[in-house]
Amino acid sequence: MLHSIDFTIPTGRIYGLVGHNGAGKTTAINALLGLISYEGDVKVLGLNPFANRSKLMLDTAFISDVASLPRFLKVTELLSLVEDMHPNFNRQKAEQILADGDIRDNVKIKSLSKGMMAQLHLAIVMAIDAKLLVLDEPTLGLDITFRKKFYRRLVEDYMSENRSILITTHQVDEIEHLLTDLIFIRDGRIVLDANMDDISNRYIQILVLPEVSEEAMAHNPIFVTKQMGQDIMIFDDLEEGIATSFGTISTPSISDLFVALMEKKDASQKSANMGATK
Amino acid sequence: MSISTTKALLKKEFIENKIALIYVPAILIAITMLTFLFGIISNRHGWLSEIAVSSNSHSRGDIFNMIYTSSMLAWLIFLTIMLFFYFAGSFSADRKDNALLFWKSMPVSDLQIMTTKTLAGMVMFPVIILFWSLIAAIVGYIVFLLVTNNFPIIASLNSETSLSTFLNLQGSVLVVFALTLLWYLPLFAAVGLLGTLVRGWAVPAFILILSMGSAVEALVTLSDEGYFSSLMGERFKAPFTIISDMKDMNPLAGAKVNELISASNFVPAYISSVDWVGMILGWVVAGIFIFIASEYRRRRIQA
Repeated sequence: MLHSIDFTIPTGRIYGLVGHNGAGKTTAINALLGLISYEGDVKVLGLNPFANRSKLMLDTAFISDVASLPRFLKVTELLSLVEDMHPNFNRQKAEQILADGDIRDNVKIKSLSKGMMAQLHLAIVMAIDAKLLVLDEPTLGLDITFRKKFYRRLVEDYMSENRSILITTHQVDEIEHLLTDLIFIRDGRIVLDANMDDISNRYIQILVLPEVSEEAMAHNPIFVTKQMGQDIMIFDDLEEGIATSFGTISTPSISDLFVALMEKKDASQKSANMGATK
Repeated sequence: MSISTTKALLKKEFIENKIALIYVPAILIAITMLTFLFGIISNRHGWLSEIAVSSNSHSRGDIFNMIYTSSMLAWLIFLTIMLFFYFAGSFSADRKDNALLFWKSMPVSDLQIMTTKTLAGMVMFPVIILFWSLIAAIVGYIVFLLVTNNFPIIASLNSETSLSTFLNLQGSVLVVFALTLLWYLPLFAAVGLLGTLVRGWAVPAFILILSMGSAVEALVTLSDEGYFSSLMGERFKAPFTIISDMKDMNPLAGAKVNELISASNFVPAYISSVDWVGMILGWVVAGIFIFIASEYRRRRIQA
């Protein structure tokens, strides 16, 4: 269940939607795609998605988090059907993408492996000239080579200033370099919505010198861990002058920041619960 | 919805139901024809001679077309049963393997998909079955030639077999097929709606609802002639009642061999026998069922 979440995705941006299992990512995506009803105001490409799903799909492409291709069809039959049903589908482009893999045209989809099925779905989606592309765990079950190739192709061949992409994945570090914006979602609430530049300015990670560890702790890091006996702390909005005096500064990775913000919330919830118990 | 989208959705239904539309009729025709051929070649019980002897030598008729059009009743029953199962399965078939999410990623509304499924059941499937019946006619005619070559007396009785009589019969049968299926449309839509709700249990649920409805009505009214049971009984029986009432001129009701069917006489008589108010009300009810099914599907994303 989502609780009053509010965000806007401008054109030309690649958004990452990150959260634990059950955090509400797929629910949010389903609402955006008009697949479920909702309370509140949702506009996607100027349309109410639930009332106008079929119209919205002319300019939106998506892959859900489960393998969903109809398995009774052959690959070529599926391409023909999509070609006839979707005016913005370019069959030639799909076939070009598929030519890089080892999927044959005349095989039944049910005989494809999970990875091949994902490749086929990605090829179809990337051959749709959409304004919004929504990818819910798009590379689940794929090997690292294909994942890398897919994301490279997504940025080089697909992304343009007229398009927006929304991606959810658990393999966040793999998409870190291509994201322009990031949303963290937890228990149906947004806990972070910022562009990557703001994030790198706002959050800093410090490999803290042992002798200033206590002093650094006094500045309320949002996350603390140890590596090779040395403290690593993540701070929110710490002045640069102070930060440099604590040790080596770097930008936290998405996964580190995610853990930091999730644990921070855990800690605040725990203390809230403890307060209530008392 | 564009023509290419409708074409694509119909093609999808065809591929998904290829077994019922292609393989089952082909096997049925092959088995029937092989059985006839075996019977002719072996003539084990002398049955052909018996037919020839028992026939009135003064009769002149169209034996081939009469036998063929009688087989059309079997095709009509096959098609009706097939459509019940088609509607029961197809309204929820897209949920198989989570494919519903894929179809929902296409720019086609749930109502358009449900309407196309209905169109497939009411137009595409009957056309394919009629095509098979024509194949059966061609194969059957070859078998019939074999019979007449071996038994000239049957050939002499069959002086009226011609393309004209075949076309008259076929035209009449087409009208019977079309109006029977349109009469049953609300029943097909009802089983389709149940299919969206209970998937594979649609046909048993349909039978259960009819039985329970009649039973409850009988308990309440203390009569076995209640409104619901009469309405349902009439809906099921009406096409066969018309055929039975028109026995003398109906190609499906075993008209006498020497009475040739005239489509120009039969078709207007058949059309005037149809309860058109009941027919149109049935279409309205079917439309409501299909709309409810599409709204339910619109709110579903999981298998």
